Amino acid sequence: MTERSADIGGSGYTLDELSDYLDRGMSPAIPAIDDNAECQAMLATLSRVAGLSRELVSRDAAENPTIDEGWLAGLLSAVGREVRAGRDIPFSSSDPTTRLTITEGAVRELVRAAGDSVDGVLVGTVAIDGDVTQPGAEVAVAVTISIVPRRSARELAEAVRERVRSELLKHTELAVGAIDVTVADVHLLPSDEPAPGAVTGDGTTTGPAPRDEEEQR
Amino acid sequence: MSADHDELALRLDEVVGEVEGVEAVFSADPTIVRSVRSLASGPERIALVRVVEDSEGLRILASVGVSDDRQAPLTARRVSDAIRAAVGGHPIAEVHVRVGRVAH
Repeated sequence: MTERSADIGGSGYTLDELSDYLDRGMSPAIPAIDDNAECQAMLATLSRVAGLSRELVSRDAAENPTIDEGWLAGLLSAVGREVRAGRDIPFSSSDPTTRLTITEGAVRELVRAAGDSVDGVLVGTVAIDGDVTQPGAEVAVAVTISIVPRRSARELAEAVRERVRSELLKHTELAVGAIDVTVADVHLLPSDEPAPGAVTGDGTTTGPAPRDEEEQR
Repeated sequence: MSADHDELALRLDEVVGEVEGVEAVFSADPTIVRSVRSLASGPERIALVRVVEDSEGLRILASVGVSDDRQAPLTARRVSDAIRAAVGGHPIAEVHVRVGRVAH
């Protein structure tokens, strides 16, 4: 069984089946999907990716038919891995009989949604490095993104970093250290005029801005 | 779960779902466990919140999706408080509120 066909969140439903469910308007309702947090995260991501990637995929398909299938398959495969609940990340509680947590999968989805909210960006992978189960332990976040360089790659990476940090501060109690944003794919469309400092399709920059891969703060 | 615990769990499904900031209540049990319980219980609704009891008291697990509008830790605390209020005087060994996703 390939990762892409593996079931999501122990629901018994594969990524393809979830995609079909989404296409049907999630009707008739399937409780095993509707009551499953990982399936809901996957559906939300599929829905968001469909909207954000529509321009990329349709235009790339017309201008470069080899890019869409592998790129999209890789993206969905990454999402399928990342929505898994994973470790429980604690929230503080003064009552020893109260345990409050957020799943690692929910945090990865949070980071992905924050990155995707930047115009011209689609998040590829999200990794959280560090012992998230220990309150106060510093964690590092690594995000890869695909971009349409409407702004410079540096500006887009910085916008992603700011939104990710803001969301993590709002919804977690993690001690967030470095947030690394790597531009992994650049969808430079022939009709586009790249902004100064934008990364071109061959990985070089067009202007004076420094290279944007592996930026770190 | 006993019949009493089933009834309490169903009530907690409603209580948790009404907490401000909660967007969804998810199954606290893996799908396979729910499937088996569903076969055993027939047409009766299976609760999403898990309630079990041991010598120390009730152990309650609620898995929720929360709104991006409010801080997830605060919503989780509200859920815990609502569960405790609904359970009343029954001894509680643990209330675990797990945020399974933040809805945008």
